Amino acid sequence: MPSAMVKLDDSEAELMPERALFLRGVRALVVADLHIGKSESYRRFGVPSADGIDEETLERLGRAAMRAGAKVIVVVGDLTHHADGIGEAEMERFARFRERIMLPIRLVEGNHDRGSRSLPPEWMVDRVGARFALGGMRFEHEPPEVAAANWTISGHLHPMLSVARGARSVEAPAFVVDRARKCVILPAFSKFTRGVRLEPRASCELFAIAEGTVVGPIGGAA
Amino acid sequence: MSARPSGAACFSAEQWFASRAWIPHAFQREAWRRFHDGESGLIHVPTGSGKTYAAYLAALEEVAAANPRGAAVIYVSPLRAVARDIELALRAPVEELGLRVTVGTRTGDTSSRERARQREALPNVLVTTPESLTLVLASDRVEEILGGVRAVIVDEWHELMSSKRGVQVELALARMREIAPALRTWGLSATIANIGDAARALVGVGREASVVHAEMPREIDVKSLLPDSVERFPWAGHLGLTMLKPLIGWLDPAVSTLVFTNTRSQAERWHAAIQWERPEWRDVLAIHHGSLEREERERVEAGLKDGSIRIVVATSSLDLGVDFSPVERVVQVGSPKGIARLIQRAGRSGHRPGARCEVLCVPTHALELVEIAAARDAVARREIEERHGWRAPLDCLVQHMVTRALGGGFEADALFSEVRTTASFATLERADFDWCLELALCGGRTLSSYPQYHRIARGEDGRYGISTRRAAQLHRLNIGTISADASISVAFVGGKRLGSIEEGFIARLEEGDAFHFAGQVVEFVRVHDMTAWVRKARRADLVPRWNGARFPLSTALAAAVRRTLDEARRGEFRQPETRLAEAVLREQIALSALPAPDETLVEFCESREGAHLFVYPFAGRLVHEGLSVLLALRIARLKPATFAISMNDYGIELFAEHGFPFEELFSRGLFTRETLVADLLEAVNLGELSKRQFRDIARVAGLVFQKYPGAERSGRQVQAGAGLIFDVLREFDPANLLLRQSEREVYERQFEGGRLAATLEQLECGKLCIARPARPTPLGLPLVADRLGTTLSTEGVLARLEAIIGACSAQ
Repeated sequence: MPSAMVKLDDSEAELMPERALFLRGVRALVVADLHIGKSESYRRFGVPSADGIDEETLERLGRAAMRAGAKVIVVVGDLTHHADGIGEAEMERFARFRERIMLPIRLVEGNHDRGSRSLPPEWMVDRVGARFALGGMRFEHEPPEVAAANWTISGHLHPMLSVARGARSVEAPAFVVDRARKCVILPAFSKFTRGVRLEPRASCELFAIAEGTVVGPIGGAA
Repeated sequence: MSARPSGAACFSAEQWFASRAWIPHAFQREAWRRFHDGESGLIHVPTGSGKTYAAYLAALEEVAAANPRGAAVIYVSPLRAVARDIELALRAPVEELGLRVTVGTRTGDTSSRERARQREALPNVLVTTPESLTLVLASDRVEEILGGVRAVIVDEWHELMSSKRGVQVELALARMREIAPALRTWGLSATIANIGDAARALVGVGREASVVHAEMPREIDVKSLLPDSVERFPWAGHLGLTMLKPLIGWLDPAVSTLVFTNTRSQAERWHAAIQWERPEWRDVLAIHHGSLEREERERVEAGLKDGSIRIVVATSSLDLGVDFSPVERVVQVGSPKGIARLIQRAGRSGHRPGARCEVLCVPTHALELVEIAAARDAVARREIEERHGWRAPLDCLVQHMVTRALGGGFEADALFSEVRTTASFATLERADFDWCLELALCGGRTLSSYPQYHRIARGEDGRYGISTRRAAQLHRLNIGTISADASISVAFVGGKRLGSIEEGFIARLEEGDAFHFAGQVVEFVRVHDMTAWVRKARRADLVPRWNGARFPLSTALAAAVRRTLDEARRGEFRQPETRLAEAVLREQIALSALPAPDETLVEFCESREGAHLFVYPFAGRLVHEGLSVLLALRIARLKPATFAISMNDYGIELFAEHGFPFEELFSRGLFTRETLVADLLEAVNLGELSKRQFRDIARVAGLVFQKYPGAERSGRQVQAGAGLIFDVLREFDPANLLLRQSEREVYERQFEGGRLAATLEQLECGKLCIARPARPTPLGLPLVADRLGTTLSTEGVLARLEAIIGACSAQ
């Protein structure tokens, strides 16, 4: 079983190696920071970048949704990178993805989304503002400073586990489960990202994704 | 420069010298004669001895007589900062005799008004930089503008020839030889060992290169400032301030002094420490290095010249342009790492004719005592290093193709023959040439759908020209980027720019982190619009680290170090530095051994930390970088492992977990040269080397634009390290041409002078001295202490992660 299971109060959440979280009770697939069009933004500025990044992002999203049997996809911010990165190819690619994956998509706005113009209607993305609630969970792009009554699922920071011991060192995208703040921070869904590097610590549990397997908890009180 | 002055049309160097009561040196007369005989070559003389006039005056005689229109003499200097001083020197005879010759400067600092005037016609005598010369080549009237050039004089050729800017000069000269029939090229060079190679690179393949020597030996005294005992002296590191107080005791603001360091971080650190100890020197103490704003550097240079600044802590940024700011005393902090560099720096002191020059070396750790003693020996024997140019750097070729497309276009076959007349591209293969053409035409696979990367286009007549006006504009903006660092600006919030700093350092900073920069303490606020904004702070805990700024130990100095260590092995301690280091060297012998000059020392050691393998080829850090990843890869093939790798000028260390059987796996076969290229590339890919190379290459080849019209406004969404782009390309487009070139360049650089191959041969066939010390030795400790986190692993991420978690929970 490459996923890891965590209990968030009464809810069961599956941390998936596709960089997604699946809430079993409400069958919601939660992802953050897809940064669609980032590659294109770079090229428009003359920085070389590879083709196929968004393609891979969407393919993985579809795969995770089907594998989990999701009924809804919640994006907790930064679906797109910047308005200037959404060209015809990006429009077309996402529309094709929507022909295949017709689940409702709820977008909690992130800092990058606020800068972009309204999304094309054929993307069928339901913008739900800065906060959203579902099945006793809160969804908000930036992690809360203090715990709310319910658990919050966030993104924004692109957490990476960074750990070294002796000659070995590993950097890998990671989920952060912070029980004191009642908050889960998702790894960036896009692979074209760098983020906050976290060493294992007592205050939170880290679940790292390595070679298709979620490994954890690493650190935490246990 | 106004209308041409009227006056005497004829000029004689001899008469002008006589009018000033100067007597020409024999080498000056020889240079003048050879120029008139139509020869090209190199003038090889110590600094400060009149080589500028040796190269220039014969050309001026011709120009004054011929009274041409447009450029006739081009003087190329690697330093913009001294262009003004050079112009004054070149102008002196013209003004004194009222010659009908115009003299002017064109560099990146030249005003747009002046440029516009120069577009009509260049001055007869033009002072310029390699970048600005290349910009002239990119003009569509280049044949008309440069067709009448009789002389190109290249200053500081010993420095230029081993950089990519030197390649730029070689390519420009190849072009000019085609369009200027009367052209003669003369270089000016300080002492290097392979002066013939340097001369040949300048005149082009298959042409006669003359060398004019002027041996005017000056006595050079290498002294050192020694600690009382070596006991409290550190064994490693290069920033050590142990000798700070003795140095401050020796410094005297009444005597102008240059304090040379080897790195910019070291300069910042020593400047801050001196200022802290001697706040009253505030106005007369200054810092100078290549990352500072030009205005600040010029202020310091001017202050040094007029005497208002007395003590300058500097890096090699003050190595050049020596004729223009002499000082009385010179200090070298740390090992000079090369003999020629030490001689050149020493040459700045005691500038009165006939005076001895003297340099005071300040060791920062115990092994530097040995290097200083060795350097003194090598200076006495005048064992100078060779300098080598770059062999066929394709990024420079791509840039040159676009330049040529702009400068009237080119035919592929003709350009191929032309670039092969340069020493750098003499053995260029046609396939590589076509590869570059392809890159300039369409940018390779990932970029082929983007018109801005189609920089040149093939016309119906088969000639290549520039594709669009935008491509032309971008190229002109970025021609200067060969020399630029991968860096971003540093500026005070709402205020003055301080200079630039490497992106990698800034990326690790958090808001509020304070660091030394430009001789001040500043606090990081944020990065915005490609600028790191800072404010003044009180205390700093960080000194910026600039990558790649450390010189490798030169072959000549390495050989001298090995000789000095051999003396110690035989129980001889005849110099003050080695006497002081005696205890350390005896400890090395007791624990392990000191190698004889024909031996390589290998140490196997199991410490509390884990298992170590040390190998000491004394081949300099660049070669060791290649050797260490190669050895790590080959051992890890025998047994999957993860190694931490460390290297310095003396040797390398591979470090693994407890019980790793280094000795069992070790054999001569590990050093075979047979699969060298393939193995090195594989190792380089597993390691981080090519990633570091990537950014520079992408920029020089014009694929990442540093300056982009309009980009100042909204560059925020594209702020990312080149490392990330590299990773993405590697995963999604592994065949990308840029990646291939980064590998290639790492490979070329490690092969500098065949030093890596020679080192491997020595390891495979020469004598080894094997030791099994109980703990890391004095030679090994610096490697253990300096481990910088380079690793090489043949284990997967998951295996590594599980091993780490296992090790943590076992505790």
